[in-house]
Amino acid sequence: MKLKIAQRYLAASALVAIAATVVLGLFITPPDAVQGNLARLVYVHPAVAWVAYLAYGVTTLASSLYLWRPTRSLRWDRLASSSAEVGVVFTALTLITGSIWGRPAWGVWWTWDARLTTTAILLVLYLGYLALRAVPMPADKRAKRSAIAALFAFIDVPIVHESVVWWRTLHQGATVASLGMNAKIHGIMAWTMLLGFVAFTLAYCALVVFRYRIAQGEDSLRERQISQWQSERLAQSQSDADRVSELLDNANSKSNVKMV
Amino acid sequence: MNGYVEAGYGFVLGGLGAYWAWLASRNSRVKKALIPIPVENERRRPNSSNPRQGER
Repeated sequence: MKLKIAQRYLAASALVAIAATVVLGLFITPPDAVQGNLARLVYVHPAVAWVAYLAYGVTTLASSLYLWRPTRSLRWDRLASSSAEVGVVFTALTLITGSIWGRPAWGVWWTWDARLTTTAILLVLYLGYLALRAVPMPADKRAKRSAIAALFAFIDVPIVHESVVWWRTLHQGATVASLGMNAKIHGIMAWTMLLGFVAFTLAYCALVVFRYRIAQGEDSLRERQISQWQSERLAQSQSDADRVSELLDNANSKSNVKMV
Repeated sequence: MNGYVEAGYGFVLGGLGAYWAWLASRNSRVKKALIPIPVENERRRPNSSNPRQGER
């Protein structure tokens, strides 16, 4: 119940924040001196990419907590899977918005640039993680295997982030959040960008809570189905035993009659 | 604007909205499957077409 209330508040605040970001980003902020209106994508593309990183970070943390014996609980497994699924959605949106930005800026929808390629690999890795989770197996075994897979998949996140530093890429490097914090960005543009980060982080939180609640329901449904199946098997074996004893009784009574 | 910006915003909003809608339909399916049917009803009407407990 608490989760449901939290989800409602998070969803409502995310909706308001995203609406404000869209209005500010499309209509209020000035066009960029170099890229013109195309730069308005800066209010969504980096924010969506940040949420993908955040989602995979949460998945890794929850997976580590599941693997560590003192904190082992299926709750961490549920959180890890929920966050990974939301992360996959945000990674796909990062690639789509990046591609839409790339077409007018670079002249191509897609290029095998280091940032783009490592991000595509990231998406494939976490799709693999979700596919692993879909394999039917006992809950504890599934949780353990997918937690290990999540730890391996996370290795790509710092590679994606540093790809623009390590290799020569078409994609620009960090500009606003660089170490020197020498941000050359207009005040309202900076605030709108920050609002975008907050808005999509809130949307991530709402989606994860929603997905977590569904996972809870699915787990209790599975438990119920297992116990129902067990009770059916028990009833079946009991009726089989009754029938066997009945047959034995009949056979015994017949042999007694013959002896008499 | 130039169409690319609108497309970018449209994909983000549409993508998140579609994912939310998919989660909502999945949630309602799980909820429906989890509704317990009182056992008394099954006893009273053994030949009824109502689903048994746990069945959809």
